[in-house]
Amino acid sequence: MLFNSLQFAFFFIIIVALYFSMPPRFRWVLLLAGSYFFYMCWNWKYIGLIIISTLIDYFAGMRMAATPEKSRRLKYLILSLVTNLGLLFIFKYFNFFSSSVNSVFSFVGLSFHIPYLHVLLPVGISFYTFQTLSYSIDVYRGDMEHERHLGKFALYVSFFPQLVAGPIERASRLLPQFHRNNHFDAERAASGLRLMLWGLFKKIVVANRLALYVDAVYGNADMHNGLTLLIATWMFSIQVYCDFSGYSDIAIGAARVMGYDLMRNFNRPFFAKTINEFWARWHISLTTWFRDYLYYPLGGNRKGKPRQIVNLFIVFILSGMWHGAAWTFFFWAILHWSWAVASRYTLPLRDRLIKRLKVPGNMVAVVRMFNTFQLFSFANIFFRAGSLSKAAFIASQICSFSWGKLFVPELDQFTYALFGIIVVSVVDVALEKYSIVQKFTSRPRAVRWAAYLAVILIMLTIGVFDESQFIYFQF
Amino acid sequence: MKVNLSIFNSKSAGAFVARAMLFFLLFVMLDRSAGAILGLLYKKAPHGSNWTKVNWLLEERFDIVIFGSSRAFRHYVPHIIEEKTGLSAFNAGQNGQYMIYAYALEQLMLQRYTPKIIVLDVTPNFIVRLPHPSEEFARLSSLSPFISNKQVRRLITGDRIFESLKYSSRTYRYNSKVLSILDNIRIGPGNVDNGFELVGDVRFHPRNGFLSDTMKKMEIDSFKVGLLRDFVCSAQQRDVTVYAVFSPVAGTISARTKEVIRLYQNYFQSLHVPFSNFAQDGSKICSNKNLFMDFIHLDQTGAEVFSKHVARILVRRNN
Repeated sequence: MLFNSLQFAFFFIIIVALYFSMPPRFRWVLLLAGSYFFYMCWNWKYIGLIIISTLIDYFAGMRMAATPEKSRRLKYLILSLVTNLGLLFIFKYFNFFSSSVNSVFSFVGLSFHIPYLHVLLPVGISFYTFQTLSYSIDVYRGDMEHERHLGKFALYVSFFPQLVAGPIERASRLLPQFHRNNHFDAERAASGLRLMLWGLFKKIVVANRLALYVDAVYGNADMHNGLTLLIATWMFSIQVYCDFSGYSDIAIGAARVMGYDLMRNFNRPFFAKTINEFWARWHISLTTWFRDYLYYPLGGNRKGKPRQIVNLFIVFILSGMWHGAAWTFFFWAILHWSWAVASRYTLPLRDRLIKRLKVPGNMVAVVRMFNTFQLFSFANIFFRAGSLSKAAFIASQICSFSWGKLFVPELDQFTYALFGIIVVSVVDVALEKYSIVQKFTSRPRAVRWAAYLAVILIMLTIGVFDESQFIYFQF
Repeated sequence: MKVNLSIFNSKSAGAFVARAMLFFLLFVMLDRSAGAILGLLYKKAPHGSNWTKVNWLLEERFDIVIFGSSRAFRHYVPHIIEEKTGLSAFNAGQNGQYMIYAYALEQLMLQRYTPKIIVLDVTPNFIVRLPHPSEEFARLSSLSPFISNKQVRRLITGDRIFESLKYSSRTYRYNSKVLSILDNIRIGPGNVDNGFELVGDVRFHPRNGFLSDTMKKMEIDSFKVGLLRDFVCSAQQRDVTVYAVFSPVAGTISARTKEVIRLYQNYFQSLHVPFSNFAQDGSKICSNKNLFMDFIHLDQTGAEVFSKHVARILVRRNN
């Protein structure tokens, strides 16, 4: 059941109506059943994995809470880590591991082969694994109380708005909300629905439309010139932003309607002036997860520059591999790491140079935003291409500047895509520069409703309703 | 502390639900109005390319209607057929569309009027399962303005309740068509002759074979074979004469295509439909590459030569 489907619309309306109609103490049962149903619509067999993770982490949390000595608590943390990461390894990384090892064996002339597993990648496994791990680590560190209510803990692991593609919530933020009695708040519900509508617009009007062009070009990359590949790469960057931030908006909005606050996952990343700022604005729930549970424990930037570079390397590589079990993601991570390091250590020098040359601030900001977008887009070639050789070909075609005529299969389709991009850009600029949400909500109802109706009508007129999956579902 | 247990007991919730219903009502009204305007514009578009052909076919009455893919579109010159047969003719062939589209379009036409003769120009794609069958159904969206037709609705929505529900929106029926509607109104009639595009002589490009020849394994799609039978039977029930044609190709066809043609011969024989295979080895048209723009498409001169052949056959058979 996808967020951009009518099935979800009906499911959500029923859940919300039942939620506010039933006594608060039973609401967790409804949400848990609804969340399991939501997941089982994709593949009912894999609900067992979520239940295993839930039970193990619940048990580990209970035992850690009952064990005062940190050393003894460690074994329960290890139990949680091994179980969750073990499942993740088996379902996501085993075949990648097998193929890589088999390639090495074959290279050195060994005939031994590790077999492959014929399993589907469970949707959202990387998301709920990281979410539940954050609970175990927080309880181990003593940063939060363990959860006594198994049902509410199970709901924390599987809460349907953010189950399959985040935001990766922290237990300390979300779990207490399940103990709250939420009353219906019309203003909050309207705000949630508004966010859901905007998320759907980004997905249906922009991401799905751009996907048609990107898929056509990347599907036959060898048939296209550098200019077409460059445009398709830029479009993919916008597609992935609208797709994933659209999903996050719908997730946050859906939770908000029911009275739950999920963390912000995107903060208009294309306004970032450096690649490091970009990562502070992009997929925030994942980057802060890595920051809190990996980068800081490794020493962060407290142990000198060389160590910081190594720490960043570890974080970026693991972040790349979190996205997908393929060498293309490894390379994608290497690129981002090298840019993050280069950006961090050359920034003071660049700032001094700009000051000396007296370049206007606005111009510097625009150029930096453009550059950051280019760096992100270049790395996305590896994110999208599917193989290193294909990515290398595309990159070389773009960099060779052997540009010919731009491939435009249908001009009207291109125009719809452009229109969607312009609308999203205008709204993002308005959100970045002016607080338009407050201004908008203070407008008369007729104006607000006219805007909502216009958005819905645009979606129906030029949206792509092929119910294509969200890109991040594959992770 | 008093707790609102029910959404219906809460004043603010009740007001919210009432407002939501009012909003929905407004949406339905706006959607109907926008859909009606788009529908008018859709019908207003003069004879241009692609989907405007559908309106043309449905608004006027023709004695001979040719159905098929891009091969039909490029191979049958209506005015030549009209001259030879004395009957009005229309080329309803459509690029990238096969049996499912031909069937849906035929049903729309038969709902409005009954022609005298239907020519079905077949290719392997009409009965072979394509690598992405869902794409073939997705391409039917060009007929979504006619979703009220039962058969068209069944093919487009697959009788899935949520898919049907989408089409209850009048605006959605014209999804992704707004600019092309406006463009077709703006540019006026294209360079066409009753559905046939006048492309002139085009130099031969050695590309575009049959898709079935590129597949690892060819599989016959029983659903499409069923539609082929329904296509023929619906016409025959209304006393329409149906002719099936496999039009020429540049050179020799593969063993796999020959196998498909044999299947067609059997199907059409069982349906009492005359079938003419113009893709036979050594035929005059097939061996003259100057008449083709690529392996499976004739150019305008080729189409004129071929149309004369077809017209002669139609005259012979109808006398």
